[in-house]
Amino acid sequence: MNRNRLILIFGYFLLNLVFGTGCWDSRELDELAIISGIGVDKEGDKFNLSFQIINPTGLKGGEGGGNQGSGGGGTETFVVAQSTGRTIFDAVENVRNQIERIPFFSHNEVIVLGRQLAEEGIYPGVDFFLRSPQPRPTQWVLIGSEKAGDILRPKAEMEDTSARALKLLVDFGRQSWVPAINLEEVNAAMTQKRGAYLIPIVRVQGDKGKLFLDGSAAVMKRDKMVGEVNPGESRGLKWMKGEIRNAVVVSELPNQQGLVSTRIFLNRGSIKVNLTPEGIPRVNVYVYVEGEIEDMSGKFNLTSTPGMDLVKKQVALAIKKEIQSAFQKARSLNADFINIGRILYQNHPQVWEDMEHKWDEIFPEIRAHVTVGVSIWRVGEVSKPAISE
Amino acid sequence: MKLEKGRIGLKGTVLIMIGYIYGSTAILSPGVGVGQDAWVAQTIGLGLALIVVWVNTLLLARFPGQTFIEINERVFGPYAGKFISLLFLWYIFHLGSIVLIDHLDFVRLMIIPLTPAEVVVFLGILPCIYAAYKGLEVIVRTGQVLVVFTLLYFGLITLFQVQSYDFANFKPFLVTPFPKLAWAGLTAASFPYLETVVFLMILPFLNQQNKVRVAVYLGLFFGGLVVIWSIMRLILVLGDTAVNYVYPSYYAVRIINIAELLNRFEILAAMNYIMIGFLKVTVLLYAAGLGWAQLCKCQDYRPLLLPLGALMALVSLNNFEHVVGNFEFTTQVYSIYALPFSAGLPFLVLVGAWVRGLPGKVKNK
Amino acid sequence: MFSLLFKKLKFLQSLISKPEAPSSPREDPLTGNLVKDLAAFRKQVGDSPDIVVREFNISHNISAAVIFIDGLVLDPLVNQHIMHPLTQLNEHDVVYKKGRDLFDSLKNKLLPVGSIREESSLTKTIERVFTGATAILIDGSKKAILTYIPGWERRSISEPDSEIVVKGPREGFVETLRTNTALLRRKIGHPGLTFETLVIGQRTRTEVTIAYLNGVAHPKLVQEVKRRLERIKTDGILNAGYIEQYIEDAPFSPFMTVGYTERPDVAAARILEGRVAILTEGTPVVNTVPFLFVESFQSPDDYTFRPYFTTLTRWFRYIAFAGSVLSPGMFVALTTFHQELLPTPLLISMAAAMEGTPLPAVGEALVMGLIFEILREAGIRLPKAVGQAVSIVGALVIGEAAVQAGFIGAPVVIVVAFTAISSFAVPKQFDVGALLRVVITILAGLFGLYGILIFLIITFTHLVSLRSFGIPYLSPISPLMPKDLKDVLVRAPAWAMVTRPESLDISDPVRQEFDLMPGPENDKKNQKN
Repeated sequence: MNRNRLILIFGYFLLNLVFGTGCWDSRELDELAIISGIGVDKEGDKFNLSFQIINPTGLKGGEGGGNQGSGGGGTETFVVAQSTGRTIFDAVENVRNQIERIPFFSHNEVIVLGRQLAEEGIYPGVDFFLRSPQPRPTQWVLIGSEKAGDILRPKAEMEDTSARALKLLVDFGRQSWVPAINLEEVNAAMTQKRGAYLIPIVRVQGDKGKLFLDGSAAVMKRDKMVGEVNPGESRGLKWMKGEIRNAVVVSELPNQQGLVSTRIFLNRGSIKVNLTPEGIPRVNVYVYVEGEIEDMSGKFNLTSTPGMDLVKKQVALAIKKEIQSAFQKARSLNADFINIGRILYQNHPQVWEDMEHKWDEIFPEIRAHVTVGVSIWRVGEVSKPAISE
Repeated sequence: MKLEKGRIGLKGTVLIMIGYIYGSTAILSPGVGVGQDAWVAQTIGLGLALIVVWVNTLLLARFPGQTFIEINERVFGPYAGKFISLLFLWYIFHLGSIVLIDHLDFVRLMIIPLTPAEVVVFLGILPCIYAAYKGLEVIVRTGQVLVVFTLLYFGLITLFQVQSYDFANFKPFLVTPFPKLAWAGLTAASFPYLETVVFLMILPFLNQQNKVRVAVYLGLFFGGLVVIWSIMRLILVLGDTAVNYVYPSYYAVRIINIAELLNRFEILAAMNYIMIGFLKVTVLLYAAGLGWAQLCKCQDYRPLLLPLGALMALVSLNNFEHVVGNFEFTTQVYSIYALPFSAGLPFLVLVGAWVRGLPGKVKNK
Repeated sequence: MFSLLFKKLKFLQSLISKPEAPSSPREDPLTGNLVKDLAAFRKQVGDSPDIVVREFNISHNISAAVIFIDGLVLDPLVNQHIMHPLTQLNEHDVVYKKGRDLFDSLKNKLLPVGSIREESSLTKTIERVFTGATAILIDGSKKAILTYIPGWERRSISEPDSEIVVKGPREGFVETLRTNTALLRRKIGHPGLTFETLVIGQRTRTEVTIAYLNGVAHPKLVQEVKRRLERIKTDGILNAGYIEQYIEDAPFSPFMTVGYTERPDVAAARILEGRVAILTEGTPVVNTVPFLFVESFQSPDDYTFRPYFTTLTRWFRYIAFAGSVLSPGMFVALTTFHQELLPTPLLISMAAAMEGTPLPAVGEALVMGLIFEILREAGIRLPKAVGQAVSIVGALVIGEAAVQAGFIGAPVVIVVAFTAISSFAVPKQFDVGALLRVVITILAGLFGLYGILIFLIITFTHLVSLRSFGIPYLSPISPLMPKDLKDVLVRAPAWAMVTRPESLDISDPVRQEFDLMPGPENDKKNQKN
């Protein structure tokens, strides 16, 4: 009898627990404001956040033809809301004054950081996204050429949201020019005390506001932007890391014989840091690429081995130039975005201990020796150009 | 009279030992403080633990088929023996509450952040009480399947993470100063390896009593391998940023993204953590229940489980002020706090038994 | 909860005065005086129109009576084989002594009937007559002759409605116990196939036969089955389902621990594996014990098709079972708790589809689940022609219109439809699936995946703790029996299944020789040389 009473009491509390309270974390889909892109700007000492929010009702009608059918109804596929606050989370709370739904970050595709913020230090701008369990660590981080809010406003022509379009641009561009970096990698890069890293820069072009991502990137030291690299320089870095998956190298043939474009689809790279007997680090870069000839503007005859050798040599030269330009830029900005310091630390920890505090003086002096191996197997369907002698 | 009639097999015991050892390390990833040498620290810890558990195996070999509580009473008599048993039971109970809050904190931070802690904890202790109520055989048979699932999950994640492995993260090798490394090793020995002291309450029910030593060593060794590999994976994927995150291994799973298709695996990770936490808490709760019943000479241990479980949940809610306190305790205080219980008590009892020459009595019986 | 109820019932029972116990078969010997015996008989059975008592004389002076139940015996045969020889006896054929000699000569010489039996107790005689025997009482003999010429209307053997196969035999069990035992005999020719009969039910007097293979089935198992069957003291067993409930191991568990089949080949296969079959008179369903969880996922067709394909289908069944139990709950958990786990495009299209529906997701899932269960129930019990109308109304009106009107989101309909289809893929665990599904959906609505997981762990622990006749319910999986996984994770070819299931703990584990892999004769020779 006693035991039964105990079970009854326990069961009563259990039932109360289950039904008397409620479902605290439950959020219906139509209570959510699904954010697809965030822009973070700094204005004075305040943060200005722009949210690109997906509008499901806008997507409901024109399921077949994307968002272009919105001409009749006029419902947008996304809306942009802006808010300001002293911290990021403050701004997130403030945006709830304007939008009637709960901001939901898990499906955010890109974070665009304004240039102002980048120059003052991005950490305050990304800490919330690292700390909150909602945003995914794999979303891309970009830096807006000016205001991040302006990047998110234009409509995408083929995608539902421009954030999605931006993400796809990065996905594609990272195979060649764009030194794409995601939130987790930004966090990892920021922990490097002496190193630097790149964050791609996105621009808006033209009157219609077309997004443009060409591979130019901001050079960051810890969390501050110290300079900018052009597409060639950022690709120089990617050659060394072996990150190129699908890139075109246009190289010049000697004696005005025209241009040859090679598509590179395989890339290996390694950076070795040796010490000279005097104890100065010397960098050796080995890069190997494989590709195929896609187009050739001259009448150069490709039917011989010496001919192929010449093309390979020119491709290697072009790649080497890009790599050297990356080194050049790194030295001139005194920003070690090639991470030589880290490689030195990993292989010669004692040496690094001595050098670490005067790394800023040593780094500009470092010279690199670049070796590029090229393999070209296919030349396409044309063996001998029609206009060749 | 015997409180537990079930008998458990060697395979199952080894498997639940693996799960038990992997238990909270799955979430907390101890030792990332020493950076890329964390796995060395874990290896040292495992080595130390392998030496220390020799004591446990000797003890079990001297008193086959008897739990630690029974051995205590035999060796030190009713009063001193009970006192030592009480210390042991406190340790098991407290450990259970810590494990419970570790796992459920994770649930609260990552899965259902707004649900009150009380609800999460009491819901979490329910299956543990139920399984402990069903007896040792059911615990082992349930546990072994969960552990097999865990190992499958482990293999899957290892496979998916391959693309983000950076073997340079291991370099430079062994630059941590030795005292720091040794300290980390000692910490690792205490958490998780020596927590297996609770198996002094479970191994007596092994169906082949001559295989106790084999079970202890196989379980510890393979459990250690799993833990070491999980730490190595963490270093490979996150490098030295692992220390920046509260739940590094969960984070390492979140960043898996293969071809925009194989991603969002954290659900598997979370399920795995809950399952393995359930196993660990169940083993501890069962051992605590059985221990109290033997201590108080109860007819049955099962009525004790509900109050013990509820108490464990309550204690776990009030163990720490905040999650930072929890981490502080786990990484800095726990190892020292636990060592006297997990290594000291068995040693003390073994010495006592040796001095009093007690194994002879067993033969007389 | 159930145990509480049970105790309450017990308490109530103690309040009510004990009901009158059904008349126990008391020893009541035949007197040898026909008039007296018949009077006693009539007194016991009353005067029902279907009881035929035909009194006549053997030769001149010996009166005798034939008793049978009209409809239970084959009239023409009774006339031909019993009435005819007895009434046509000449004086010189009969030894003019009453009693023993006459009785013996009748029994040994005169009755051209195969199945014959003596009975000296009136009560037992009545019992037999009421189960289809024809009794012959002779004045002066203290024993009755019982012959069996059963002839009631019985259904012919036909293909069972459930457990339909593509390649296997088409016959199914029928309601007649004797036919069923014959079906089993025809499958298993070995004399080791043993039948043992018990009579259960004080009023229905239902014959229950257990069948097992002597030397293969564990004697302890047979003993245990008999013990449990003998325990049953109830007034009526109308159905094999009654037996199941009296002998199962875990009466409060939602999982069934007694197997059933309508097919003789399945029953024979289980008997060959060392299980015990329980055949109940009046039911075309045969129970088999012990029943393991993995058996729910096996189908007779698995053993007739190619192993690769059946391995695949078996995995489909596992997935279907998981899907039928989990999918509404997972849907609720994913759409209301863990939206981050859905791929972005899917989430957006789901959000678009569920925009503006009045109910929360958990409500939608529960309502649609309820509608499905009602539809299914209605479809089963109705005549086939009406059943179609039900499904049209269900599919069109409820599915289509509810989505069109915006009451229900389209994803819910898809999920419920998937659940429904998957639940039909594993018919044996259909009932449990429906039950678990509802609980999981509610828990998912309250706690999301955490609730689901906690409930799954409890369910799994429960499954592990179950036993069916001493054999762990989840047997080849936990405790792990690696040898038995040949019929669980994969379906090994017939020649590779060398051993009988180890998990059943049987006396004779080896089923066949090891070296049975087929192949051209030459290759074999080469291998041996």
